[in-house]
Amino acid sequence: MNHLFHLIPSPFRRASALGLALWLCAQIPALAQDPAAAPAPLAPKMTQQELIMLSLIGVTIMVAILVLITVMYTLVIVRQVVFKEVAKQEKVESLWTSIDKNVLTKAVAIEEEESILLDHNYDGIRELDNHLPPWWVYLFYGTVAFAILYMLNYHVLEISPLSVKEYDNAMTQAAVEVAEYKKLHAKNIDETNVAFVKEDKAALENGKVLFEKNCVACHGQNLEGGTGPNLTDEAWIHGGGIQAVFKTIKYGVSKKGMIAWEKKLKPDEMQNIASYILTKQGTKPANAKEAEGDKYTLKADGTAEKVK
Amino acid sequence: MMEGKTLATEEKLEHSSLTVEKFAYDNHIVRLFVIASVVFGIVGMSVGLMAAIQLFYPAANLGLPFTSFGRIRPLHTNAVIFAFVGNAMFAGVYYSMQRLLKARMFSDFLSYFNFWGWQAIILAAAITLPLGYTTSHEYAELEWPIDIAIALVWVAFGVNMIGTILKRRERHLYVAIWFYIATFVTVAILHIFNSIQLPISIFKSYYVFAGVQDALVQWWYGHNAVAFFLTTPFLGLMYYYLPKAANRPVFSYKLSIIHFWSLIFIYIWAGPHHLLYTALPDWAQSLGTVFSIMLIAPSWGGMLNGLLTLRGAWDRVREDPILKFMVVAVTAYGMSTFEGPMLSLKNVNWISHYTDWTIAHVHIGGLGWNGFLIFGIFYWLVPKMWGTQLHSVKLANTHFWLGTLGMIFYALPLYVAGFTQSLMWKQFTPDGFLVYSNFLQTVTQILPMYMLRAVGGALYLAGVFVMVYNLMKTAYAGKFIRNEEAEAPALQKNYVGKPNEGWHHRLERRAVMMTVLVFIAVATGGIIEIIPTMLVKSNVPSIASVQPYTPLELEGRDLYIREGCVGCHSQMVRPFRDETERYGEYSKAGEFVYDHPFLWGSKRTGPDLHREGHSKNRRSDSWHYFHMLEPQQMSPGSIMPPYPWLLESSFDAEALKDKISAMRTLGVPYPEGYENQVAEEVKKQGEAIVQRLKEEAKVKTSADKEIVAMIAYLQRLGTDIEVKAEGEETTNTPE
Repeated sequence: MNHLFHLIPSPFRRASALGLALWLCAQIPALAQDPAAAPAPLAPKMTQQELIMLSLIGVTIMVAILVLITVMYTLVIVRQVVFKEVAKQEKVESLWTSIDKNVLTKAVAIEEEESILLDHNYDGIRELDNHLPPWWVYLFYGTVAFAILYMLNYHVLEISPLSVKEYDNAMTQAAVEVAEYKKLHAKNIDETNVAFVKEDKAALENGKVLFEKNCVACHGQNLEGGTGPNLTDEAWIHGGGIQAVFKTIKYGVSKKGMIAWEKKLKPDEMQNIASYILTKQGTKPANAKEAEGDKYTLKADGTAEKVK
Repeated sequence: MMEGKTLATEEKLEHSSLTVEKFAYDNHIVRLFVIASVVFGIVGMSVGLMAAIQLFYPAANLGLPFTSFGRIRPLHTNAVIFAFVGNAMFAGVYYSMQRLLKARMFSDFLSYFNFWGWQAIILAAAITLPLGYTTSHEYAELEWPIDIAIALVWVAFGVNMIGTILKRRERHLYVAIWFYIATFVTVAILHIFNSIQLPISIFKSYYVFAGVQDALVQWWYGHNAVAFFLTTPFLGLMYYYLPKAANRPVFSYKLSIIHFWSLIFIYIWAGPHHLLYTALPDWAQSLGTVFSIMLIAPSWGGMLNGLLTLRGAWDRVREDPILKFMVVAVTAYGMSTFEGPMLSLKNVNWISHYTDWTIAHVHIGGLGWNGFLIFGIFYWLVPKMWGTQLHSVKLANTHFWLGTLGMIFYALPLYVAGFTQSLMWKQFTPDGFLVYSNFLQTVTQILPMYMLRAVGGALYLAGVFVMVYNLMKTAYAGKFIRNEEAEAPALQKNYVGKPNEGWHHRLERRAVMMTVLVFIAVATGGIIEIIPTMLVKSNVPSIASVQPYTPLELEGRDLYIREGCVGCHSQMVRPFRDETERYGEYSKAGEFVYDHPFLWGSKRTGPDLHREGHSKNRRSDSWHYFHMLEPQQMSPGSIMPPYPWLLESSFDAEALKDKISAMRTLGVPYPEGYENQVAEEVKKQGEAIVQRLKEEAKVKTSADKEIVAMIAYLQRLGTDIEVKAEGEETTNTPE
């Protein structure tokens, strides 16, 4: 008789309303915890006790709701089992019909659809009164449950880390992994022990390739200078010699627009580039930029002395 | 269910006792909107194709500012969303609404005001966007005078709709009408709230909100523009045209009710999923995620009701191109409404965000759902309104396959591109270095995918031309029925519902009540998310060292907005190992408090720029100068277009006074009377840059050039959190 009475299955209606209430409860403690991390406290100050009370109330309500939902689910399942038995008594169904009826569309057969044709008629468009497809309803319940669990997980129980914590964890783990790796493959070149590898052909070739990839935009194809200074003369703005050049590459000179390359190039790569640069001293390329900085004398081992 | 038939008989009796009224449906307004939709569809898609080509062949921008990527990208999005899809929506709504309500539109004047007003807005957009007049909020780029015009025209549409509903001859409102009401109400709220700007001149304004708040409002708008401009009206259209074309009853009335209310209630909350891992407070991000997940079923409710309505008509789907288009449209809807929630999960978003994956996703929705549904509707409408048969079913099938292939060629390469690039960004060597430390390497890697994408777009566009030919032939073969005669009895006053009438069916004859409930449903989510973000201080912890922009930097920022840099460069370093390694410290909410508007961006075709001026990344002024002149000179292989006009044009220093005053009104702490120092400040900072350019690379320029302002802005980015080390001429060694 009353086909609209079952419009919204009551467990669904309740579950969604409760889900919202649940979320609101979950929000209060979550909001209140923000100021702990931030310098500015939340306007209405809450005492520790109030916070705990609030959290407790929230958790209690949530547990109650979870229990309610479970009970409702059980009831629904029980009802289905009972229904199935009734159906079995009536006639033997094929597996497909059974799946369609219980899981998929639960639709009334096309031949019998007259029985569920509503009196609605909109410019000739009629409407059937088919059931909600069962799997769709379960999907909806499932996503609501997911939402509740998600908020609980991140903002109430705080099991999974939020963005910043997740980042800190990732960085800590990466640091450990990199340290482990370096222990095994020690190649710790820095500005104190960097060497002028002018005899190592492969290293110089690597330096050349890297230079052409990363440095020519500012220092020119032949190191003649451009936006950046000329690297073939004896004048150095930030110190001559392998150590100073390595250091300039590694840490950059932000005021002058020289990027710090320590995160982009490996130590041995910076050693190769620095060495390559020093081998080009005195090549006098065309269109060379005028000398800038102090004059240094380069020695064979790559060290340099400032000319007084 | 037995009373169904009895009720039908009663209804008939009731009607027969009344005088039948004669009236005519207005087809002319529908025809106008159809033509406008097709014309602007071709324009919008062509502009999209041009933008797609520029991504692998930058010279396709013709070397003009007006056709440069940053400016035509918003032109493309606005044209396809508001001109192509918007006009098609009006066409579909005006045709179906009159028939579903058994009434001519409430006011012909409002109908035509709606049409001509909307076209005027589109024309204004087509002129102002290439000129660089933009607010930078995605899909809301139009400046404030046009925003006001949009509000007026939209309200005219709404009044016309509600008027028609009130004078209807159909007692109950059909589900399509519910969706139309939701569309009108929500788009009005979204548009007005997201357009709160402080005008400075006729074509320039600043958003009232800044930084995190501005981002939240914008993505609440952006997400729900998709929901209530591209989704709900089209679900309404589906509910009319699909049962009509299939000649089948709608599968389930219950499902209509439940998915309608759950969809409009849940959709509005999901906006923050566009801001995962950003400086938006975590609680808001989580809400975005869970409501997106809960949105799967309500969205699929629409898909299911569409597809299951075809039960008993699938044999005709094979033959009828209209049904084919509709089936693919509804399926594409189902796919993108599943993909969307998946993209809202943090672990998926971690990969997808800022990449071409997002672009692929929106085009499944745009090309598949909106485009194909529109084509299906047009193939159905035109023969109906011209009283004839479709000229060629074969050509319609050709269009169908061109379109389908076009979508596949469009989307698949972009999925590959998005995935590839994201994984390249994140790859580390075992000794802790980024494998692809140069961002450009990750771009050149995916250029072949960009080429394939352009092929896909071209195929899709070719299909539209086939449709135009077919529809024109159809129209010429028939005779246009300008006013379609109809008759129906007027509604009886003092109607009392049937006994046992369901509560929802009762609601369906109370249009005003329904509108109010829709308003409550859609307002809830927005209020709960936005108001706390505005009010609770802890959401944006302040950072003492963050200072307002200098006038020159502010000017540079406006140029950055004008050129649409935000279309390719984000300003949001997320807390990921690879991003902090590549760009520097992750972005904090407090750094954006003076950003009216926020410029976080949504896509990284180029690198993030939030730490561009930070000492770890800082390049020389002359590097920027030459990079703007000819990007390929400084980064060989770059696909960034050159901006030579920045080197030639001068900015209006006088206007900066008004900008500073406006910013102060919005709460930026410039001291009183600072306007008088603006000229001096601009000169001082500009001269310093000019001097450096001269020293570094013998560049001759002057302090009033746009390039100087742009350099000042770029060098300022991300520096606020740095403790200023004043050591001159030293390297950055920590010694």
